[in-house]
Amino acid sequence: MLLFRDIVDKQLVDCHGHKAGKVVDVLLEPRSHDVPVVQFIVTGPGASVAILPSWLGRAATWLEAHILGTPTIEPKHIAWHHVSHIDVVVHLDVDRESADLLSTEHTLWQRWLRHIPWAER
Amino acid sequence: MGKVSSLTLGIITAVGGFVDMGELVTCSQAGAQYRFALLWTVVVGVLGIMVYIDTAGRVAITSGRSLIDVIRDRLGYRLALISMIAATLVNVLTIVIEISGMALVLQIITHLSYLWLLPVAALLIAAVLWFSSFELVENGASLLGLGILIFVVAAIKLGPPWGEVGRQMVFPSIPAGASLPAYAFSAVSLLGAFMTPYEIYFYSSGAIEEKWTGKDFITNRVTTVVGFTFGSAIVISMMVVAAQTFSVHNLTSQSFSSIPVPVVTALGVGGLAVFCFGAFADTGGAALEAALSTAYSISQFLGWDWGQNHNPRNAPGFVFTYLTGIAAAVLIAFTGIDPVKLTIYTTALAAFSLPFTFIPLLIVANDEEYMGDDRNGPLVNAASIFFLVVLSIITIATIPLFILSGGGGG
Repeated sequence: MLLFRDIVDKQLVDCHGHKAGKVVDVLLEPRSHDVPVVQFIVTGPGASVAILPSWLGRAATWLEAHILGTPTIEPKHIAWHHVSHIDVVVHLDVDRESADLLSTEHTLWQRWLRHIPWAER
Repeated sequence: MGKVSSLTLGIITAVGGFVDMGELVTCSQAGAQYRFALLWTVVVGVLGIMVYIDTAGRVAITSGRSLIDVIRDRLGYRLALISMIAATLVNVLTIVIEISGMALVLQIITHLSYLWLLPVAALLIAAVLWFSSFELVENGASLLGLGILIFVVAAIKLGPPWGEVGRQMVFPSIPAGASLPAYAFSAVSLLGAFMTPYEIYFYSSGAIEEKWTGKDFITNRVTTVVGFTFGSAIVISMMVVAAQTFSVHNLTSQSFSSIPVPVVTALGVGGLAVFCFGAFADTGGAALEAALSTAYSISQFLGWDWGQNHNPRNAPGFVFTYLTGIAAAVLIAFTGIDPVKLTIYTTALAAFSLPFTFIPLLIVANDEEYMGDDRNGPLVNAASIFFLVVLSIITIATIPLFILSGGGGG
C-alpha cells in the first residue's frame, strides 16, 4: 500500500459516516527482518501543529492555547485496527465522540459559542 | 424548484453578486484616471474567473468534495496549507473592505462617521450568518444587489462613445503622460477585483452545500458564462460613467462618496438612492461570502463538520471560524486605515495570491483518477494556462509595481 497516497491527508469518517478530522500522520512499528507495520493513525489539530515549520507551529500553539484555554493540544492516536476500510476517505469502526475526536470542536462550543444568544436552537 | 427557474435564479444571483467593494473602488478610479484605457482588464478578468469558477464547480460536482479538501488529499498538507493561509489572509482583508463598504454607504445616508457604523455592519453580517440558511445567504443579498444595475442605466443616459469603449476593450492605449507603473498597478488591482479567491472557495463549497450532481454540469456552465457576462456589463458601465464624469473634467475619484457621483449626474437623487441600496446589498453579500469562504477553507482543511445549513452546535469549528474572521476584520477596520486605499491593496494582494489557488485547482482538474471523463479538455487547459501565466506575471510584478507606483498613487 502506498501509505502517504492512500491514508495521509484523507478525511476520517466515523462508524456513522460523520466527519472526524484528517489523517495527519501514521505511526509505524519497526519489525526486525520484516516491513514496518502501521500501529496508529495520528489526527487532530495538535498533530497538525506538530508538523508545521517551528515558527508557525509556535504561533499556532499560542493561538490554540488562548482560544481553547489549554496550554498544549495533544495529537489523537487511533489504533489501526479501528480502520474498517479505505476509499476516498478513511472509514473508522468507532464513534467520533467515544474516540474523543471532537474535543477541539466541543471546546469551541463550550468556551465560546454556547454563550451567544440563540446558540441552542 | 424547476430547472429553468433554478437556472434563472443562478444567473440573476451571479449578476447581482458580481460587484463588490473591489469593483466599486477600482473601476471608479480606473475610469476617472485612465478613461477607457483599462477596460481590457474586464475582458481578461471576467474570462479568467469564468474558466476557473467553472472548473471549481466541475471538480466539486465530479468528486463530491470541496476544493481545499481535494487539494489536501491530492497534493498534500503543505501545499494545501499554503493555499489555505493565502486564501484566509485575503478573505479576512476582503471582509474588512466589504464591511467598510457597507458602513460607507450608511455614512452617505446618515452622515455619521463610518467608524461608528462599522459595528452595525459587522453585527448585521454575523447575525445573518448565525440565523440564515445557505440558500438565503447566497440568493438574498445577490437579488437585492441588482440595484447596482443603476450604473448600466447611467451609462446609457450619459451616452459615451461606444465605438471607442469597444475598441479600448481589445486595443487599449495608455493615455499620454500616464505613469506606466501606476497604470500597471491599477491593472493588477482591477484583475484582483474581478478574480477574488473567496469566489472560488464559496462557489466550490456552495456546489456541495446545494448537493449538485452530474445533472448540474449545465447549470454550472450556463450560470457562470451568462451570469458573469451580464455582470461584466455592470463593471464596464462603472468604468465608463467614471470616465464620462471625472476624466473629461480632469477630476479623480479618491473617496467612496465620489463613486455614486456619475449616477447622480445622470439620474439625480433617485439614482443615488438606488445606488445606496444596491451597493449596501452587494458589499454585504460579498462580506457574507468572504466570511463563509474563510470558514469553509479552514474547516475543510482540518476535516471538521462544515456547512451553513448546520446549526452552531453541530458545526462549532465552522461557526467559530467565520465569527472570528468577522471580529478580526472589525479590529483591522478600527485602526482607521483608509478603506479605499485598503481596497486597492487588498485587490492587488488578491491577484498576488490567486496562483496559490489556481495552480492546485488546475492540477486536480487534470487528475484522471479524480475527474475521470470530466477532467479538463485541451481548450479549457489552454485557457487556464493562459490566465495562469497572466496571473503569474502579475504575481511577480505586484510588489515592484507597488513600490514603483508609490502604492498605486503614481
